[in-house]
Amino acid sequence: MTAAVLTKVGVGSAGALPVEPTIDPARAPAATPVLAIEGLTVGTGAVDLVIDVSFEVAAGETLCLVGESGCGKSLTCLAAMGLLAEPVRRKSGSVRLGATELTSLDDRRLRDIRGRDMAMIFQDPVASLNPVQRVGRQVAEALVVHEGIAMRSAMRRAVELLGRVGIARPNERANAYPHQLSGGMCQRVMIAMALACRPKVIVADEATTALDVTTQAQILALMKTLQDETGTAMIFVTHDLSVVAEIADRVAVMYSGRIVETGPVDALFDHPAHPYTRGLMDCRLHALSAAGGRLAAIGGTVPRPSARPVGCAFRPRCPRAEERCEMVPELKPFAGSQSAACHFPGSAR
Amino acid sequence: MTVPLLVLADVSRHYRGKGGLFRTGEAVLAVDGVDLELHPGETLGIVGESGSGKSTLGRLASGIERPSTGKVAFQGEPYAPIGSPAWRRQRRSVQVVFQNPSQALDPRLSITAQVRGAMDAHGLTGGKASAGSPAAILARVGLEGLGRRYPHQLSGGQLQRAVIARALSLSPDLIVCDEAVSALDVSVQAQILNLLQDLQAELGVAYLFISHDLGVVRHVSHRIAVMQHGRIVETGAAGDVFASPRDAYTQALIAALPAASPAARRARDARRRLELAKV
Ligand SMILES: Nc1ncnc2c1ncn2[C@@H]1O[C@H](COP(=O)(O)OP(=O)(O)OP(=O)(O)O)[C@@H](O)[C@H]1O
Ligand SMILES: Nc1ncnc2c1ncn2[C@@H]1O[C@H](COP(=O)(O)OP(=O)(O)OP(=O)(O)O)[C@@H](O)[C@H]1O
Ligand code: SF4
Ligand SMILES: [Mg+2]
Ligand SMILES: [Mg+2]
Repeated sequence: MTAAVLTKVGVGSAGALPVEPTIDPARAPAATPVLAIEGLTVGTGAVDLVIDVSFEVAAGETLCLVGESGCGKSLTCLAAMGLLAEPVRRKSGSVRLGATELTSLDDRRLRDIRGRDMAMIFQDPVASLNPVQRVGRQVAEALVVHEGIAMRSAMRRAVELLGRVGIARPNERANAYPHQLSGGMCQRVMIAMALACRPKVIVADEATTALDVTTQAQILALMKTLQDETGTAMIFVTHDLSVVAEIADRVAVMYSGRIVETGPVDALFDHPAHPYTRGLMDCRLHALSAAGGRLAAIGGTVPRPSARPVGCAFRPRCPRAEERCEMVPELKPFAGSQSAACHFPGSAR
Repeated sequence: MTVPLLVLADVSRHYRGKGGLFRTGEAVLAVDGVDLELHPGETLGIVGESGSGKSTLGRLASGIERPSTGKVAFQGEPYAPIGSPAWRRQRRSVQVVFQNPSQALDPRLSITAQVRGAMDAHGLTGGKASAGSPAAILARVGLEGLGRRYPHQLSGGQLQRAVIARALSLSPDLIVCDEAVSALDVSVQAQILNLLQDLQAELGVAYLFISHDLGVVRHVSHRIAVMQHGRIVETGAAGDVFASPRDAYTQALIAALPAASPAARRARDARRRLELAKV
């Protein structure tokens, strides 16, 4: 990867940069995942908020987690990072980074791994940065902590990183406080911080949701470019299916705490197997598609975790529901590497 | 052509600057010489990036804020001084729905009480000018049987329905929707957009529909105005603005839109690589 390409991203024509893909987006997950989550259940007291979630991400791969508000996307990310806070806790399941089981590590070892091997980017960059510390210093401190280099050289590298994520005049901007930068620029700082130690995994939770389309396009292009360069695995949470179309290799759709469908991005767009995925696809709106008419809304709302219906949690909203749906459907292979948790996958309503 | 419901003529609004590292202390021109018309039963979409002046324009159009220069006329008359009896009448005819419904509602009152309270305040309860009883209005927006609930007992989509119900109870002619569906899931967003369109077909209400989401605006609007730095840089029929944008800024906005599908993304990237190769 050359600095020239990065500069182009930063100066930014509006659109995503058409870099020649170095990775075939349709390929199956690699044999050795960087991060593997298995049977993860998260909850409070007797209530389960994330239920039996399993997925893997390989080097250079982007897995998008999608689903409506409250489906458990953020808690899944936090559990993967070992960042759950009371009263929410991991009840069972494993999180493996390479060969290391993270759930059995103590806090100190876990903190070491966070930032160095795994980094998280949140939706609200301004709130995630320290408001009373200059942004250059914040990036530098991540380097000091995780790379063990001296502050002086860390500052130099921080400025370099700020330049590489497309911040113009990085020397000057390094001295700014977060509130003196725009939302897009703060998100670039967060990305610089996440990249500082070349992590193996980046977890991005609605990282571009608060940004304008033009800034979003630049940030998505930037993340893809840097990912191609570093081979970082990415878990990208979004509720925006056109962002999924833009960045995902594979997709996991969550509903009411469970993964209900997973597969390569093309398969999910071309032939969604689960009625919920189909419903989400049907209520998409795109400025370049024909407009007008009534929308195919999914009626009703996501059930509260404490009041899930018996059996398939999507049942009250599902146009395809039958008696059999009173039993919880397992996540089973559907076609190719696509899986769905539905008794009638792929069948029209 | 019908008589316009709302006319903005060369309207500007400036604020005193906030200062800061990269800003001088000079005035911010949030809205800069805007002309626009909105007709009864019409939806005018306003798009543009953050800070382009959309919300300020919405406040000026609804009369809750007044222009620094230029004229705003609603149903042929300027907005009356804030607080005057004439203003209260106008206030009933123009309702505003914002992004965050939980802040728009009183947490201590049931949904029915809030709708009734709004009607009482305008002397509308049981009157002929009103859209019906609070229960009938709540049923109209799909909140049948939920009137006794308090805001914290409703989902985001239900809260936004409650805000819309309260607006409807005053039989407005214009509803300014400022990012009204932006915080909602696509499924719930679709429910609310369908509701807004049904209400327009039935009651002839006009919308000034502000959103940064071009897909949503394209779907609901008859006409679209694109804002940049406080100015309207392009207006036109919704289909035309997206199919053949004339302004360079509109073109840039559309070029930045994420793709509708992975196949569309690959086609676009291939096209761009070809264009780059040609240069
Ligand atoms: N600290 C907590 N205590 C109790 N319940 C919680 C807590 N945090 C989250 N939940 C619940 O867990 C469920 C999953 O929450 P989560 O934040 O993971 O959803 P999400 O999919 O990220 O939604 P969004 O799109 O709104 O961010 C929700 O029902 C939420 O209300
Ligand atoms: N009350 C105010 N005082 C000072 N400046 C203001 C005020 N309201 C708006 N501005 C400034 O006016 C400009 C336009 O703001 P406005 O909120 O109308 O934009 P917007 O298009 O709605 O943006 P967004 O998409 O972020 O909501 C911005 O530069 C903003 O900082
Ligand atoms: S299991 Fe039944 S209710 Fe659940 S999604 Fe499939 S068809 Fe619908
Ligand atoms: Mg979340
Ligand atoms: Mg606004």
